[in-house]
Amino acid sequence: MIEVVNVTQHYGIRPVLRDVTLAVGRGELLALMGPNGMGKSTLMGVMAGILPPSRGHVSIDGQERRSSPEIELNIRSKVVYLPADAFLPRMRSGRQWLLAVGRLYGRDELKLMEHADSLMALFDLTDKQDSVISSYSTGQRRKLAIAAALITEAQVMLLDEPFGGGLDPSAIMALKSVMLRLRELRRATIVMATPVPGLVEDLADRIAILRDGRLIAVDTLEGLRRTSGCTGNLDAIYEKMVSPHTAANIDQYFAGRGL
Amino acid sequence: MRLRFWNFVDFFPLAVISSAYFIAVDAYPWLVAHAFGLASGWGSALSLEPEMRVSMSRFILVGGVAFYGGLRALLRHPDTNSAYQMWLRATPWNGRSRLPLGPVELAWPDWLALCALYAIARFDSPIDPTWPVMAFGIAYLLFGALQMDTTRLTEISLIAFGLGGVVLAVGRDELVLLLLACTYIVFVVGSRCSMRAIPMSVLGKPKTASERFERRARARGTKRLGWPIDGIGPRHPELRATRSQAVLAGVLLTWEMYCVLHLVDDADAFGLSFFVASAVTIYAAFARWLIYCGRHRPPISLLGRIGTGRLIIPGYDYVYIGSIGTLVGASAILAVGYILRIPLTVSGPVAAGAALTAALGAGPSLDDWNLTGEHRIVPAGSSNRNLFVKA
Repeated sequence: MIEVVNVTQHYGIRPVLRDVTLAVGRGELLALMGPNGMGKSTLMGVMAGILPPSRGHVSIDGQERRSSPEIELNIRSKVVYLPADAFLPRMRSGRQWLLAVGRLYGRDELKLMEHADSLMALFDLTDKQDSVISSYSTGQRRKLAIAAALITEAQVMLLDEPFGGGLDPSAIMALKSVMLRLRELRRATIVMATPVPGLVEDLADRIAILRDGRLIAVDTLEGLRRTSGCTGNLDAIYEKMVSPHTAANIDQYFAGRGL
Repeated sequence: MRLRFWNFVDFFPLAVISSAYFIAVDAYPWLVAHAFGLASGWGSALSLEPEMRVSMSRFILVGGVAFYGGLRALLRHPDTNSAYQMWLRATPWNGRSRLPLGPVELAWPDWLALCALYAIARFDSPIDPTWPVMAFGIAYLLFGALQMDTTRLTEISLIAFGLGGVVLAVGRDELVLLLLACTYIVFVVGSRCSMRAIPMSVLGKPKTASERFERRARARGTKRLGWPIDGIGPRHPELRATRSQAVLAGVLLTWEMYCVLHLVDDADAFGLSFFVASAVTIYAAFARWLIYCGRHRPPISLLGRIGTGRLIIPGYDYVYIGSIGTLVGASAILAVGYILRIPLTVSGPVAAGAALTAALGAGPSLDDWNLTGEHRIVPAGSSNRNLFVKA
């Protein structure tokens, strides 16, 4: 379980996150949404422990992040964080990297090799598995980064824009299915940040919406419908709650050009 | 299901160095000879002149291997790759577990590369085959020691002494290899302890001002006041050394300088020794003066002193003792050495070491000076004249 308690974070003078409080239960899949620059990645970074919050704290399974080296290491062994620009070593092969990451998380060596092979097959990377990562395309690198997150078998997964970075439709479908199965079979806790509502509508148990660094809603799709008074899909709800002026801005843009 | 335990990248340096060597020393003269009709047949060819061959061998097999050794120590260390380090910060890596990009210590591809380079030097080049190994070892251990945590001063000092010994033992191959092996063992112990000593919470460079101030406050053992108060509050000087560290630095400098001078011909060594000793002394005295007096100016100007008759202001002028002592002490050692006919290759390093010790260790400490000196605190780089009060 992840608990974010009164987290405020600022890089300069303007706070990026303002008093954010959020709880994600075991086996829950939470989608974190919001416009660009509204603090999604910062909140993911704070939950992942790579950013110390200016105020407030984050707990995983009841243990507070950064409270002691032992606790922090214990938390890190249970959590995997996939940032939007994940680190990949250019001069190692994809398979070597998966095995190295799996070993780092203490996974069994023999099972690890099978797992690496099946992940490579899942993301259609088998032909490239022994090539150095520098020869991978952008989409293939993103697939490998996702595979590296999955090979850890971590109980808590923090995925920042997992569907971005040039993933092809089959990889998006594969990743969606994997997330759903992991939630059902292993009761994995998954938090993913994405700016695109359409990708998470049929996936997320709850949806959290960030605007100007504040959480303006954390609810199920039905709950958001009730709150917003919009009966449409998540795209429509999101537009109404976050950017109600978009349609007017589009009309104004074309009207101003006489089109 | 198959697992490759190596990557061709691990053998890239060996491939580059050996190819460069064979192309420059063997293939290029052969091609030139055949292209200009100076030789005929596969086996007949011109070869490089012996002196040229020695120079090329030294450049590639010693210079190239030293470069490889330095890179080898740096490239796999998390401290030198910020993206790698940031990634490690979110994983359970704890300093004891295996690094995902391979160990900082030497692995079997490195040993294989070293053996191959030794063999090339032994069977094909005119240089001493120990030289490539020595060049690799010195560069690798030197840069490796620089990556160690500053709490591992014992290991860093032992490595520095060991490397000096290696230089001093040049020509005695068995001793060189033995010293390199011993120094490498010290490095492995120090490197492992250094990795383990990295506290998880401070692993990696701070990304934000808030984090930077938090770490400084933790290092000082003081309570964090919060941004931006921490930035303008009192802070301890970052440049400081205890007396024992000052003595150790001086002894190390003396030893390293003596060992390096051992490699130089006697005729050049005396001049070089005097030059280096003088440069170190002047630099140490000047740097000390700048650190102590840069932001802490005298209470009155030189003209003010003359005008008021207060030529000496004890509460301020005692800060000059360290810098003047550095200059006088080193000069005295050189003079005494000259009178007693001690070679400059000995007295020069001793003078340089003493100068460094005096500059680092002489009182007052920066803390004492900041808090008790009779000085005016001014912003860095400001003009002295503008800060005097007009009367």
